[in-house]
Amino acid sequence: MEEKYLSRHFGIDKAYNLDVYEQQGGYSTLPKAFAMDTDAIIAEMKKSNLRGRGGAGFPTGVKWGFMPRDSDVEKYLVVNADEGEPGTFKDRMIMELDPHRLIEGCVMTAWALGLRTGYIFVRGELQLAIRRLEVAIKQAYEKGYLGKNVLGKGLDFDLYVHSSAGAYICGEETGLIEGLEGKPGQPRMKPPFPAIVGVFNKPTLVNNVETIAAVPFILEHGGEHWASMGIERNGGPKLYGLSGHINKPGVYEAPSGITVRELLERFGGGMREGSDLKAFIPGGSSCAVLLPESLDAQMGFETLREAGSSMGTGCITFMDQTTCMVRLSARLAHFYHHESCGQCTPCREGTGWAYKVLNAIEAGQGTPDDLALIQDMITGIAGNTICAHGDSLVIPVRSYIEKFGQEFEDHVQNKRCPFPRWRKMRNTQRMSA
Amino acid sequence: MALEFSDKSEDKFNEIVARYPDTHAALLPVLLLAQSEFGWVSVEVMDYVATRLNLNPAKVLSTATFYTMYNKQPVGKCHIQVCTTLSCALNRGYELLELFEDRLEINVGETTHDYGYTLSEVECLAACGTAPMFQVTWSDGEIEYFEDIDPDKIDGVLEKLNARLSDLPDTRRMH
Amino acid sequence: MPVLTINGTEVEVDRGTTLLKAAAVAGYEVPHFCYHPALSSPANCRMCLVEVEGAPKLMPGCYNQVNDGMIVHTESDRVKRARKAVLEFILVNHPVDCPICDKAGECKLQDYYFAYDAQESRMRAEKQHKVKVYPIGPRVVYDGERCILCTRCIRFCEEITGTGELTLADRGDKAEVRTFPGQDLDNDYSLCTVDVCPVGALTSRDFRFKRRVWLLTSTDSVCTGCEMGCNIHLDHFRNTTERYRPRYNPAVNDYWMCDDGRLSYKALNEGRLEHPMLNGAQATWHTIAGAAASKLAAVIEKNGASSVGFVISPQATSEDLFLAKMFAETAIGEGVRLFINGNDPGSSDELLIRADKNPNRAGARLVFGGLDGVGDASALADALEAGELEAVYMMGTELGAARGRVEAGLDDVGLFVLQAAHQGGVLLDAAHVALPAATHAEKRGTFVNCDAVVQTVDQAYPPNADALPDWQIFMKVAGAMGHKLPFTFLRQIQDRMFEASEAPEPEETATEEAPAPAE
Repeated sequence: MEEKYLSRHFGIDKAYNLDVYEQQGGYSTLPKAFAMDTDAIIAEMKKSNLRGRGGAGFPTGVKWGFMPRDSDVEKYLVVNADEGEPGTFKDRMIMELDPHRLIEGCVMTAWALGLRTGYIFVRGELQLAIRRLEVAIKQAYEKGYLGKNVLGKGLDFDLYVHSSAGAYICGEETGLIEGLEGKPGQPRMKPPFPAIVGVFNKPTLVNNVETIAAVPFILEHGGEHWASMGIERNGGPKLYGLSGHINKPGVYEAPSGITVRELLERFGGGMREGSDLKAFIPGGSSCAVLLPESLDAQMGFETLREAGSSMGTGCITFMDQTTCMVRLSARLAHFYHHESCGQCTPCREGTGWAYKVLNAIEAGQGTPDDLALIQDMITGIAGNTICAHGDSLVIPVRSYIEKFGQEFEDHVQNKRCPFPRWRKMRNTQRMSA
Repeated sequence: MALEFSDKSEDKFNEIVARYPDTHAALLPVLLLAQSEFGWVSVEVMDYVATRLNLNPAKVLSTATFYTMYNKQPVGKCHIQVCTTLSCALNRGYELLELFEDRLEINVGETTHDYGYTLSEVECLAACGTAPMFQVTWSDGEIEYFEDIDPDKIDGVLEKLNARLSDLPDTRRMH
Repeated sequence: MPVLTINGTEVEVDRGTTLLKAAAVAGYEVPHFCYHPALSSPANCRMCLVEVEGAPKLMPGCYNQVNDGMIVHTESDRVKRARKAVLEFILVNHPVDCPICDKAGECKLQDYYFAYDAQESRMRAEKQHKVKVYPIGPRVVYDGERCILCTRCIRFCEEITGTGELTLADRGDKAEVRTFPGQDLDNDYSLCTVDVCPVGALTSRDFRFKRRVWLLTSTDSVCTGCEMGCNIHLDHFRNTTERYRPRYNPAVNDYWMCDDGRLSYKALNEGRLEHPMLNGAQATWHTIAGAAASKLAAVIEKNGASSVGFVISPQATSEDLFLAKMFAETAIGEGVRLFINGNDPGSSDELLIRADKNPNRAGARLVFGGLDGVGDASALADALEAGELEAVYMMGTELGAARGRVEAGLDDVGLFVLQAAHQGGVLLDAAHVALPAATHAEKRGTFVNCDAVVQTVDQAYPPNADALPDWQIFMKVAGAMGHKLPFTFLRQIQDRMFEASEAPEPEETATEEAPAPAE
């Protein structure tokens, strides 16, 4: 087994407490980090090939480099802990089991970029994560890892937990900023980007939980070491959440570039008895679906793009032969409709319409025109919205139709769904004649 | 009756407000605090929060209605929220939802007559590895995850939930 | 300054100009719903998407700014496809109830549908149901299903009035415009939300269901509700004014006007003095002019001009006031006691509402070379109570708080000549001679606003019944008294008037100079 980094403490009892965390060597890298200056830290981050772990995969070191260096300006760190991409459940583990890791990463990031205030934006449902983080932050303040003059190095850094209240769209970084400001999480037009105008109209760095949690390791062992545990342009070990029709669902740490097959077989315990792999989604529901023939694709942003999908959050959902792809696409359309902030027209109206049409097809009430209509409709959404939420519906739906077109046509032709029910689908909207 | 935070909530309120450079930013957590204190987010509660944070109440309305965790009407002491999104849909999530409907004798979206339970279908709760699962929001504001549920053992699950009900306030009478 | 190419036309515009505005300079209209030139640009409707060469995605023209060397297409196939898609999306949950919608005929959605979509609906599922006929304020009605959630009304209340009553409640396609329960959309400019609404979601309770808009004729005019003189479209059906809408003038009112001013149109249609009246009996202009002349002449001859109170109106146009001045000087003569009536001062604000509720006091000041020594309505009442006046010749019926005292005092004068558009209640009863005057909808003329902006009103329709413009009435009466005032056309008065007062001539309004940015 490879050495564990991000999940090192997951099996250790009460690692969420400061004393246990310190016994394990926690916070011991802080002095080393504090001995480095901004340029040196950003250089290590760039060398590490760490890519944003929230799904977009933007190189973290480059993003850090966008932050203004002017030390007089108030600048903010916001940790995106609004984990909600269907299929994704990895950040929660870090916050619940190893909250000090995240805090330590925040302190290092604050030091690197001269940030004086940080907020961890946690989705409100993750109450356990919030409680663990709040206790951990309190402990860190008491030990002088947070607050005024951290470790006597002149860094003043306050860190708070911000509890959200139920809106997937806040995972989009400018929607998150709006939510942090107390407003509906409606994503902002860009430019300006958060590094210039972010929360409270100040420069803001928004990074995912897993991204920030990687910082202490990168600064401890160096960027090159991190990069070595991966493939080209995708550095470091990663937390992979595996779920679906598999034997051992869960969160597992493995290097970047590991194949889907290895994750499924070595960690996920393979498909369940009687289950044959029909398809999988490599990084959360907004990624294109892939067929078993892509099992040897490596988990990386470029490699999965070549395979016809995307890395996303790196949390993979495996589906067996009982899964109706029409129903799944309708269910995901329901999700993106429910979570659309409603700000811009194509997403607000298109997601709901797509859901209604897909649901009708699944229920055996589709017409031959509906398949063309769906294609047309999602083309009208694609790229025409303020944020990527609309595309998060377009990409999967397009892929389901492309890869399982026959299933859609069969539903229309036979006027019924041949797959076992998930019991009843909710919110079924009957088409008028 | 004018609303008033308890001393404990008042302390929490002050702590929350102190985290931010302006009061508007405190709105999300303060509304959750108010919901745990007053049971649900009525117009009266929104108005109280607006006054306490010195905000235009219209701003409070837009935020309170945008986020799904704020209940704009009273809910049961035990608000069961079953995830049916992706991995839960693949792993008997809908069955779990239907079993709750059956046992509680209500449809999803409804509340039992005694306001003991409300049943909701919700979107992904980031527990895909432990599907199917549901979340409970107790009327005192506490949130609890119930993961890796075997729908065949629903009655045992409900027994556990039932055991807590008597200690909890009725949201209709919390303000 | 950046130079860019729009649909093959090269234009040079200021840095910071949006693509939408740059396209307008090049002569291309980019359709839009949420964008309004006086409000912020949330870029939410996605109707104004344009193609910029080299950019992977279409860009909202209302938000993105020009760069030097940009090559922009606003009419490419890609843009047209996106527009069509956006329109189809907007219509997914829109009721398309144009036949019963008050906005039909002046609805952006209707217009754009025919211009850019024009296909049969492909939406077969049930539409989202929302609030209908909701009284969102005392003067405005909201229809949630027609609403396209562009947020113009919300931004108006946040950015222009600063009152912030409106907000979006709920999210996604369930969202609606709302006020906080118990708070109405009741600011002094609430009806502007109806103007900015690009569809029929917000309608005026005063105007709705009154008239199909294509039956209305619109005339450029000026609101007479206060001395701001907001520029308006005076919309009339035949000879009745049915609504005012603000007309863009950056020097005066921008795109806005207040609700009180907007609803002041009603006075144009109500309580009108229709015919010349002599001692309560209907008369002709020929007989009335003679009667007025001889009665007035008799008083002057007996008691001198100083026994005559001549009351001018700050509601009158400058031309009318100029003739009033000539009439007072020539027909009544030196020593005439001058008064000015008018509405009492009222509330004011920082935006458009001014305390002086009369449109042309500044004009009166210019025409009369100042109003020092000209008593107000209260001074008129004092003079009447002191028995100093044998005759009163009064323009208009606005007397403010002094009304009761003036009315009582008029009982004792030997001659009261009322020259007004309205009956003025008791005033008509008290009048020995009543001369029906035209309203500002019924004549051309000039008002000077509080900031010395000289503005013209156009004639929307002919004077009601026997009414005549004040200036013509003065000429008639003066003529009957043997004083021929030398004018045939309004223009002649204007030439003399501006010469005499050294007031600036009315400028061509900005709307005529350059096309206003499309609303």
